[in-house]
Amino acid sequence: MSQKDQLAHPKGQGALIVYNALKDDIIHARVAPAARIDEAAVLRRFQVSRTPVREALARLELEGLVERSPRSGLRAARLTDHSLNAFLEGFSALGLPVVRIAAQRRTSGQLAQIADAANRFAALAARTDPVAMAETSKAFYAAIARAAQNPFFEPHFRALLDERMRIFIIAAELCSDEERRQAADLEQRHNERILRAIEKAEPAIAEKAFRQHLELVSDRIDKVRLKALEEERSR
Amino acid sequence: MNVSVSGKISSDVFARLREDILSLRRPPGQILDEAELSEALGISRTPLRRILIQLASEDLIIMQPNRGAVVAPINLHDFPFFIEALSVVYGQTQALAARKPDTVSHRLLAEHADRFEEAVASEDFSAITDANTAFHLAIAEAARSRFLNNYAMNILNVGQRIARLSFGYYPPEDDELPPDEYLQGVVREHRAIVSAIVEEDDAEAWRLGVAHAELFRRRMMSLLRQNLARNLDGPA
Repeated sequence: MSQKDQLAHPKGQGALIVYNALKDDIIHARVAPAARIDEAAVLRRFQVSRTPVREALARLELEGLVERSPRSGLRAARLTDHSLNAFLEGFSALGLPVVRIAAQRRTSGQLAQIADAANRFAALAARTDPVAMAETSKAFYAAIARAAQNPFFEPHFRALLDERMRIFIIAAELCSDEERRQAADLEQRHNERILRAIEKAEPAIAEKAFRQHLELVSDRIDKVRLKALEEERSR
Repeated sequence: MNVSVSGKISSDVFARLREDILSLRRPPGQILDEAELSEALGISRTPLRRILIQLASEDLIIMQPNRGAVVAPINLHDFPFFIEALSVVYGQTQALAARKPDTVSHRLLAEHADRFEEAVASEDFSAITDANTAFHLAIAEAARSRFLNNYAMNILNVGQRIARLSFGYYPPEDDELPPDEYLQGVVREHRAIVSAIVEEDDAEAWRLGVAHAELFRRRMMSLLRQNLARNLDGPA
């Protein structure tokens, strides 16, 4: 670690700070899919040396949030047909058991956290702010993942929730206010069904409600897919 | 796999460290001191950090800010959760592979099943675990999902280390599921899994995945249930 780095970020946490900030930008779509990530710009922004920046970028690349392309260098992960399908399959493959198990295993404290997230979602009166909606929606499923209590599920499911948030924000930005309200109403109904099934310890019903939610996720993905296709054509 | 570890020396060091962890030559919980590793492996700190980041992405090590890295511990109380996750990995990758006939090379899966059987015949423990991992990763690959692929890899890594913990274990007096019988069971189940995928029977492929994780659980329980204290004498 260089001295500059030590000064800017004591205890040598430069790489972690850069990693967290860039990840936050990408999963909130503030850095758009396929947008170029310029190492020099990152260096200037964070006032750290090259080593922690490269380390942060290497980690993001391993986690699939950043891609390296032979021609244009580093860029935020694209949302392609293939990556969107892989996401949906992963979210379904892990989400179904997570929701099911949460209904069997949750403590009353964990149930309260799930209910709290569901209430916060319902209380978002305006229902047109894509970022606030997507974050609260993520909090609901993160609380469910905690209630499943399996350390081999949780970190991996969280990574899926980050990708889901990115897709939801981008999809919402493509919608009119009216369409956003409709999607939010639908999601709120899914939340209520899932919450009630988890509360009553009914795993099969929780799973069924989650399958309905997967249809909404699939619909969001189609929105993003269509946009990507149009951009491809216009190039 | 090697997206960030580039260069011959780096990828050699990465493969070596990975193998040392999977084989328990570097046991769960071991502290990985960067200065010592850099010296011992003859590699400078920057590429070493890259290697450690990649090992962390496979859940083989844990990097703690300001406290360095340790080989990922294996906790006794995690075992039931591990079996649950293993069931999901086997079940979902197999079901997905059964639903995607066009992306699955049936011949490749059958070859992997053959190679596992050959490894069992050779009685070489390393070859057996490697062939087993290769079989399941080939199925995850056929499922064509980056997420499931990585997830399967990480869970199988844990499984390899747990299996090795049991290797060389004091042989139980009344082993309910002795190694030979267990391994023959694994061979049979691998064949059944390939059949279910070939027949595009996703429900059966899922069911066999859960059963396959259960076989591993039974083997581990057979090792753990013995009571070595029963022949101890009391105070005179």
